[in-house]
Amino acid sequence: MTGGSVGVQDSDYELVCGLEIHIQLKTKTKLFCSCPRDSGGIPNSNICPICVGLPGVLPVLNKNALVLAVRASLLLNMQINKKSYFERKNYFYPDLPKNYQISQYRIPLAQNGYLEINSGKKIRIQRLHIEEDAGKMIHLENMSLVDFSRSGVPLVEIVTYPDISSPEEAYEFLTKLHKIMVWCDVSEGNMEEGHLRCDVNVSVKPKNSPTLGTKVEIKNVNSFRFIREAIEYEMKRQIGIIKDGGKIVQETRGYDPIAKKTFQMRTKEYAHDYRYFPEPDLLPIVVDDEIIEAARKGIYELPEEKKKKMIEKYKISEYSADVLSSERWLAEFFEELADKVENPNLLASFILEEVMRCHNEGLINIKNSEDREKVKKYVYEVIKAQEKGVITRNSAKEAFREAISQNIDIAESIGKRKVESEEDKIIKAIEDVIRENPKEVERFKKGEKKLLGFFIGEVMKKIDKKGAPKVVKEMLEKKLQE
Amino acid sequence: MLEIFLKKRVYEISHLVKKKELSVKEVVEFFLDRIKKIDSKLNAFLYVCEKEAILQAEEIQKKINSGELQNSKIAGIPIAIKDNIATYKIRTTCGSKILENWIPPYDATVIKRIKEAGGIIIGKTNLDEFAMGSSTENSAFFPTKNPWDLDRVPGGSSGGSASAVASLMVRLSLGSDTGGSIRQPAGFCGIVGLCPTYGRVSRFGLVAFASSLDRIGPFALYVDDVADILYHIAGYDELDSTCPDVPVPDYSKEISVLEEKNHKVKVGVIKDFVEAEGVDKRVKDVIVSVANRLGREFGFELEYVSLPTSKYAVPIYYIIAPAEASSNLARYDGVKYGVREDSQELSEMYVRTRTNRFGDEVKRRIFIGTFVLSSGYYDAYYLKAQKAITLLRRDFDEIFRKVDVVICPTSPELPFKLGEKSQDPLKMYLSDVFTIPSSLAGLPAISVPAGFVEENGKPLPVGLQIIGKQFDEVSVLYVAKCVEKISGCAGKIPQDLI
Ligand SMILES: [Zn+2]
Repeated sequence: MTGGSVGVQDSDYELVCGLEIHIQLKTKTKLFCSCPRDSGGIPNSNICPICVGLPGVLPVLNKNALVLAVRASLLLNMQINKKSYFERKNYFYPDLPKNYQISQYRIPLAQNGYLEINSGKKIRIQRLHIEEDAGKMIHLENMSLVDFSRSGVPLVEIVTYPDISSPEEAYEFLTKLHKIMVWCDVSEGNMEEGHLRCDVNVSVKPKNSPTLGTKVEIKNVNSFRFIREAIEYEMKRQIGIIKDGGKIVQETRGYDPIAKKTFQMRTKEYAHDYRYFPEPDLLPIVVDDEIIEAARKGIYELPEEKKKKMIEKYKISEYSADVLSSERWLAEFFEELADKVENPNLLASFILEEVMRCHNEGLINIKNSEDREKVKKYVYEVIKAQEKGVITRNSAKEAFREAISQNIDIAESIGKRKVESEEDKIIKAIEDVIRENPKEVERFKKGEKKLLGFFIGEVMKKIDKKGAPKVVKEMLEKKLQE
Repeated sequence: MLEIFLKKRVYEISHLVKKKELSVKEVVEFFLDRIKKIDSKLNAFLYVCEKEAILQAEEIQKKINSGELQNSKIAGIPIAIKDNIATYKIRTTCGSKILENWIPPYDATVIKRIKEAGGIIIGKTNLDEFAMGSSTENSAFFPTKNPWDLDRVPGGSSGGSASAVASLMVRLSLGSDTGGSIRQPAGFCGIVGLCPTYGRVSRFGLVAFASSLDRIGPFALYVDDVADILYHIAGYDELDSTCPDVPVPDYSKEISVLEEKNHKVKVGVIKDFVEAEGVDKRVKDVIVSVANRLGREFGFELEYVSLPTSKYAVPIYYIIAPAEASSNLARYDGVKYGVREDSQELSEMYVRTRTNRFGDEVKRRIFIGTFVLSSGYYDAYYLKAQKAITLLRRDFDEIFRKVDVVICPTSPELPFKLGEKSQDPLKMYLSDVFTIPSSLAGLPAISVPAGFVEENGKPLPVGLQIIGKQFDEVSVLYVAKCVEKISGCAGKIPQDLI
């Protein structure tokens, strides 16, 4: 090690970072019983003999969880094992009702994949396996309580290789991973509810050195931004220690987002022996064609492909395409309409400005298929009207909002706001002039044709000289002959 | 009355009930009375569900009166349940202090099926703690006695269920068998005990000892009776992934068909077991004589076969079973079950609760299991044992290419005395030497009374074991019935209990 040498720069070191991510699968029920996965807030309200591991109960695999885990593996370009199996991970903790967790160990569901981040760099994934979540402990002053509602909720654990070499890369990787898992319905991805939890392994080493440094694990960081900050801090801390001639201790650290510092949680990590062995209560996991097909069904055009297509096919701005491809339902909403309108740009900005505003205000819910069809029709109508120049940009917004909030037919809302055409204006002006000058009309009709110039002048005054005199003349002649 | 309840087959008694020649209450009261009179001597029951049974009887009577349950072979029949099978609202202790007060909020699948067929849960029977043992002396509450000689053990771990049937306190009971826990006590008590194919009967609700070996099976006085209750409890269960959708035949009907045409089977006699050192000569003589009569009287072809890997069966078993047990029993930690030993430290609470609430044999097996699964030892023990099981299965496959069933003694010895082996775990382990091989292979096996041997003026039963192919309970039961005819032991209970 080069610790202690004078004049060493931070940039002489590089980060070696790997992630261990737990993602909650978006199933209706738990992994091994029929309790709903998505539990309400009341502790222990969502449990049954199976997920609290009462004596005598047995697990039965939720096939849908397997489908979603296979889908996650496909999204991460992984090699899927046709046959893998569950094992028991044995350790004692009160939130683990059986004191073993049903997980996978020796043969995971899938291995050897990658996820490409923006720079084109591939972060390699080592393995992905299915496991059950534990309950939650609530510590009070002189007692601890256990809530088993989360016990048995299906998770996949994804382990990356230590390919991440900057805090930014970690952030990008996680953001993208989160986005595609939500996009393809693998997970709800609700960060507040811990649907995606990440442990970070951080070490530093002198640039180009083949030897890895001692790694520190950062646990329980609950946002991607904080993970980026934590890695940044931890990198500096470790480089600082090495530069001062110190040694990095293998330990588990937490992150305090207010102080923006990592702190020690446990040193000398107690060497767990989990005594893994194959779960005798479950059959081997067999990934057959039927499962693969069901997993593929949920794989849609991914956000980046969508974005690219939007820019190329519909010629909308990169910014609009970025926002419109942030969620699958939004991208699909745009695309379904974009094929029908002449001006996709107009559509894009209308969706981003008005439709999203109404959606966020709760006036409509585009995620809901019933609302969605109605909204789609309304948007189509107002965009068409705008394209024809029948209504202005502002009245299009008004008409849309009125129609959805007051339940008025969209055609009526648009009709009320119609812009008069040039022709309409000229006709109106001509009629006014004829009405206002009956004597001159009489004279004209009797043959005083030179009065035509007078009429043209009067009409032009009324329309602020915006019409072509030639057109006005023709229309006047026609009108005066009636 | 006693004549009816001793001599008639269970389906016949049920038939009398369905014809209303007997009321369900009469049946239940007869057996409750017997329990009251006899159980104080035997200690077969941990709990007698007197009130519950009478309530169930009324309900079933109503159903029968309204024409339901006509197709049931066990309607109105009281059944005793080994106390490691979960019974809704009825205390289920597993013979352990740590579950002393556990009341299951659900019924095991077998219990649900018995209730649906109009069977009556009459009590929970004694067992070795968590089914670990071969004498029922490891019960945390009290030992159970053998009805043929009160100084002797009934075998184990399902000793309570065996003793209850052998003394006519019930006609049917359920036990569980991991390494011989149904067959060995059936042999010791002179009754029929069936351990069906692994996966034939759902394990849902059976408190796990060694999940890959645990099975539920029935005890009865007659082969017909185990066939009939098996018909009701067997079959696919969506709650047990290891219980596949294999059709359940009407066993007694299938057996009668075979009987009518005097069907000939090829019987293998396991040479390694019959001629093994340590087999009581008197036991060997009974078995060989019955085997020969199967050839002579039924025209069965006999062949001596060899099971060379069987000599590793006991060591394999004492790796796999404790390994799984150490994990299955981890949940009894003082957090949710048992009286929690107070402590400031979580780990100390675990240690003190488990130290004080588990018995010695359970702790011994948890130690062994924890050791063999430890990193660095897993490959040498657990993995190697799994590979050895594959070889053992291959041995059986080989044999079953030549014969339909194999037979051997259920146990190498006669029922031993209380306390005789309880201080020597290894000796105790060896009493399952003949039952463990088929346990490891997951094959169906039955113990059926083959004869009696007199010792000190008391007749002691000898059990004959019949092992069959996977899911071929029909052949096993058919041959068992032939043995029953030869031995004439069926329905025999100790004279002083009549
Ligand atoms: Zn549940």
